[in-house]
Amino acid sequence: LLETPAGAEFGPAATAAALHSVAADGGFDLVLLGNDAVATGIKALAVDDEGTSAAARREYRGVAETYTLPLPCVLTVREGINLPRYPSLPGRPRAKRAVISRVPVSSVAGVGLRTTALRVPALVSVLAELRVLS
Amino acid sequence: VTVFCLVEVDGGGVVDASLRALTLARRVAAQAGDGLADGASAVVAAGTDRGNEVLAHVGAITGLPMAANCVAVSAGSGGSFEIVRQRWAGLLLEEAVLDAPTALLTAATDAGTAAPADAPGAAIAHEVAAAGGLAAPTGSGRWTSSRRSSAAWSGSRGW
Repeated sequence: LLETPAGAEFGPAATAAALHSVAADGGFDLVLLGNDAVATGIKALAVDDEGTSAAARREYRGVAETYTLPLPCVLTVREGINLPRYPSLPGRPRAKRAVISRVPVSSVAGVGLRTTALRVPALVSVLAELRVLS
Repeated sequence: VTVFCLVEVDGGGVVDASLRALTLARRVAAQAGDGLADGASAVVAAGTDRGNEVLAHVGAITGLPMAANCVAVSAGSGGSFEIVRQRWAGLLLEEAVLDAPTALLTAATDAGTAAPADAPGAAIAHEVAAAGGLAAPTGSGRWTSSRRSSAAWSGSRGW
């Protein structure tokens, strides 16, 4: 768990730098991200028995593509790749006792892209006023 | 300013999103002399799944920062690029400064319209061989339709 300071705003570039600061040290075979980033998400994933490669499948413009990737690798997944599995009733106490590694992220090095302002587009403001978006 | 543009082709024609990307690329190229460092360059692609992924790979390979879903690009101070781009699927507009010797940009697919150049530019065609890479497709098959896509690189100095 990467812990950022309370109230700190981490944009995509800063988030990527924070992830890199942790993942670059190694120890991870697979980094999974959501699809609302900058890559096309996969819809199926399997890791081979030896744990040295992964097979992934995705769709692009109606064509199914399959990939074999050596580990470690980074993949993004689409919503709907599976059904979330929630802890069972007896599993909840065990889940509460699970040890979560926490890594504080206080600052990130400059990555060449810095936000100077965020604003709401005029059309979105109008729609919000009209309560079309809520 | 030298601008390289990734053009996606589908069904024998250039996809509309790539035409919009070309329009943005031409505007970036026109920034020459307006503050961008001499020799500054940019790589522009459409903000499609493919375009965003390709430039993300380029950024990872080269270590350069990338800005996705741009709607405007202009010359900043000190040779930087000032960009406006969509966040949260267009619900927010982010103003940002991109400091990089080569700007990696994708153009938002629903921002602006594709506009032809006043006069045809001298596009340069680059022949490239498939290099495979870490994640070359090992297979493909039909999913829901028969459409297939391909991509072509083209570049020009001062579109």
